[in-house]
Amino acid sequence: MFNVATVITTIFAYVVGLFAIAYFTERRDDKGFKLINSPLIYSLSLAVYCTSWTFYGSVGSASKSGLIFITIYLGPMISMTLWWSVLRKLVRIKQRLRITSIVDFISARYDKSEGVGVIAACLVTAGTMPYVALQLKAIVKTMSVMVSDVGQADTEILGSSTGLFVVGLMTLCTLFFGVRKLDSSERHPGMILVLAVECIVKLVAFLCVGFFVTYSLNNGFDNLISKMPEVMDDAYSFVGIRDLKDVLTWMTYLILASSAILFLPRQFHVAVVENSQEKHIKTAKWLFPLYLILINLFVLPITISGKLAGLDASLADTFVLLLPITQGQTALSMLTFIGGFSAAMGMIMIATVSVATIITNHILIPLFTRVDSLKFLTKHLIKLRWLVASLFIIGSYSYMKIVGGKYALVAMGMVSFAAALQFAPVIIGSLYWKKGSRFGAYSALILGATIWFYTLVIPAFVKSGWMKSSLLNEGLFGSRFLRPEALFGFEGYHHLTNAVLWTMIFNIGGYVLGSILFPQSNSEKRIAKEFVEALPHDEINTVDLEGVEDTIDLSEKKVILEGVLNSYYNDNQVREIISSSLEKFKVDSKEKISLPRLSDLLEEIEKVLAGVIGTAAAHQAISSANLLSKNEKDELSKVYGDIMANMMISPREMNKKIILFQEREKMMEQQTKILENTIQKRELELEEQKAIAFHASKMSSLGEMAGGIAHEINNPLAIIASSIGLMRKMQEKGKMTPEKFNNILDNINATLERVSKIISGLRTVSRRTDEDDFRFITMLDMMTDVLGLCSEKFKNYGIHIDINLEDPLYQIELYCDQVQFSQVLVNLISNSYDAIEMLEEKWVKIRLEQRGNYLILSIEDSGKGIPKEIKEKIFQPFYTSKPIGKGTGLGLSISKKILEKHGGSLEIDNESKNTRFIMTIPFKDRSEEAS
Amino acid sequence: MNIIKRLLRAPEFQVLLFFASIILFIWPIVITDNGTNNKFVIYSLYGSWGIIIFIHMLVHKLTKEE
Repeated sequence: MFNVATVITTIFAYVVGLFAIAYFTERRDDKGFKLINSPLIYSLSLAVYCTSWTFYGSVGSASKSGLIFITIYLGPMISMTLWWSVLRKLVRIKQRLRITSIVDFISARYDKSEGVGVIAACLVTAGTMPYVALQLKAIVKTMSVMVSDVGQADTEILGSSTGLFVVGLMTLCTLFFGVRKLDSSERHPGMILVLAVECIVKLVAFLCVGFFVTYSLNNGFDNLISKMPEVMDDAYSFVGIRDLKDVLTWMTYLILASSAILFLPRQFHVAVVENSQEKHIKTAKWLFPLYLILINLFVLPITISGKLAGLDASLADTFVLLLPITQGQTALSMLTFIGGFSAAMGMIMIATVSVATIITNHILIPLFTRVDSLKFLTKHLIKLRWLVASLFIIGSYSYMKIVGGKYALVAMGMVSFAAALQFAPVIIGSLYWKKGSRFGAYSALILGATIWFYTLVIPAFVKSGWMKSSLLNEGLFGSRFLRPEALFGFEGYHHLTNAVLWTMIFNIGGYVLGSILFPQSNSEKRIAKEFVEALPHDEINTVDLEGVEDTIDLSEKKVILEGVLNSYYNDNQVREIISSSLEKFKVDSKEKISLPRLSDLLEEIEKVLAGVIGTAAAHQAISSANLLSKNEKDELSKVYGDIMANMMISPREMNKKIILFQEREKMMEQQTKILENTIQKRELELEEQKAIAFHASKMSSLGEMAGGIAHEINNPLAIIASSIGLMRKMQEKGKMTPEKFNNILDNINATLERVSKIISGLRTVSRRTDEDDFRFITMLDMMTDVLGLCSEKFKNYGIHIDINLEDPLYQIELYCDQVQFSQVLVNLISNSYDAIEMLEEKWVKIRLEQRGNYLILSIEDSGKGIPKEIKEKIFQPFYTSKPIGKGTGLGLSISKKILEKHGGSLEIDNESKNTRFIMTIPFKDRSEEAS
Repeated sequence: MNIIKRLLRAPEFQVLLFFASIILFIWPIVITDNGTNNKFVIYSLYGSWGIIIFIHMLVHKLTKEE
């Protein structure tokens, strides 16, 4: 048992942690680091499906009805197989029309109808409230379990202030995480990451309890399952299928869960509105089921263990928490509580955001725009959303107090699932049936919602004592034929089977009949086509407007548009929206535009506005503003007619051509992909060739020095050989003293060190590196390596190298790639050699100086300088002035590139009468690099 | 391999998988006299679940580049 303060402090600390995550994510997102653009986060956010109902309710359900709880997860598994077709289509339409919610989607498809939006919004609100109530109930109940004596859950112990604390905290979290942006079509990175974190927390918590119960309290999974007959009433009570009624109950649960995964408003929000890339659906298709299987793995062991432990069956909803508490596992109990809290909080947050958007966009805005005295409220949309969100959570809490006390968690959840099912026919129809009409949608939603309310909500009210039980037993008007749980004489079946059967018959029947009897308008036909043919993506091409005169005064229309937008945005936002739309159609600098272009412009602005107030309200706002006069509308029809006539094409032929162009576009896309792949391949090959050329150039310079290097190594070897010979002679003659012996050995040692240095230099310069290897190294070390390779050759040809390695500047460390840098030095010194080997005056002067944070290294030789006409070409690849076979023509170009990569440069000194190359090299100390 | 990829992409395959999932989830219950063999039902259900996840992973892997 914990004290209340500990529980509340823990919750508070957890929420503060989540606030920090959300804040950090939003800031990173503003800076362009899209943390949530990941399939993993997307898949995890879908797991908001697993609410406290899953966390606690699954065990409760398994305890009472056996395996049927699993249908809630098998349903999504089944429907997810079709996600690549269905969900992808939904996402694509959402992107195109800036859809903000499930209601917005339905309303947009059915002729942007505000009426359909209002009905759907009412159904969403009524259907979501029981579910949020369920979550609040879970939080309050588990808090009471945490603070009550072991094995009890006395909710009274907390008092009403705890309930208010939960409501306050949930409201605060929802407002902070989800209702901060005006444009609801924009994604909520903070909220989604918090959701993903919460999903991990609840999974980890549940797995920990599962492991503890299965492997610490009992002897493993198999052992616990074997004990199942001891705790079940009979063999059938586990799977629960003994007759047709049970089969239909299973089917009902499967159907409800299959539709809920996509059509619950919160699931639609995370799966569609918050989707950033279609390809994330592919990952979600296996990652989310994996999540579901993990979170269900230990439901049965916990149920059986709870029963074996003798816990009261009426507390089965809290077995997950009670088992660690009764075993005195303090830390595990707290982790479990936080897991359950996360499950509830995630759902409340996302459901409230979704409902707040739906109510403001589809109920309040249409109302405010019609009532003049309320019109000013459209300017305060974000505050309205805050108010609606707060009221919704308070309303859910009240529902919990009134109805929830007598209703099990599972029963409350299923009421919401059945409400979500009412959206399935109109949404599936909108994606696959072009003839589905606005009247069909009206009929489907009204009939479905009415039957849902009558068969599920009214019985809930009766069971909670809010209404007379006679309605349930005797039916409406005393007619047993109209009993809510056995409607039209469908008796002896589960009340959910009854509800699903009749809601679907009326819903689908109404949809089909309504659509057939009341055909679509022309605009609706166009929208229906756009929805059904959303895959593959076809950008709507703008019409060629050549020849259509610019006759519409843009400034006049801008004033009207500003007036419309001013109702929802501040002045700056209005200006920005209009100017970006004008820019999009390249008419920002024009005073007059053509009618078709004005039509495009209005369509674009309507889309932007739809992101804030929903498609129906946006359409209503733009059309009621009378932006096009009657004459202009007629003119517009004429212009489009003329365009068709000029094209000498019938509508049928036009359609054919469009299909042809679409096919052609598809082919071009494929060709582009192939081309992109080929270019990528070529680029890789080119990179490889460049690396080979670079190495070849280096080896060429080294090869030219090979003679010198051989000498350089041969001479010391001769010295060593003669020293050994001397030692032998002295030994034979008995003249070898210890002192002489040591002297000769020192001499041999020094000579060997010299050889070793030459080889080390050679290895450094000739090493092939494919990747940069930056490190700190002094100029002295590099110069010693390089001169070690060249000095003998220079000596043999009488070339004097003038360099002062004692200069302290050579001790300055450079942060560079040693191999590449040595390559530059070898190239330049080698070039000097080639230029002066035949001259009478032979010298090379190497000077180092410091200018600010740069070292300037100049290499000058006695050559007569580079002719003006060659100077410009000398740094070009493959240009060489040397005789054929002597150079690759890559040395200087590669050297220049290397220095530029190091932040420096390579130039020819135009002032010098001799040939003089100047290298500029930046340097920094180690502390700078570390920072 | 291209034929397999084309097959996995086809909407018909998704429909096939849809019905296959239903059958995979139902057969353990049907085959054991309406599910009276608890152990068999549980292990078969979780096994079927795993198989479907594996198929989805496979489809994702093979059609990743699209």
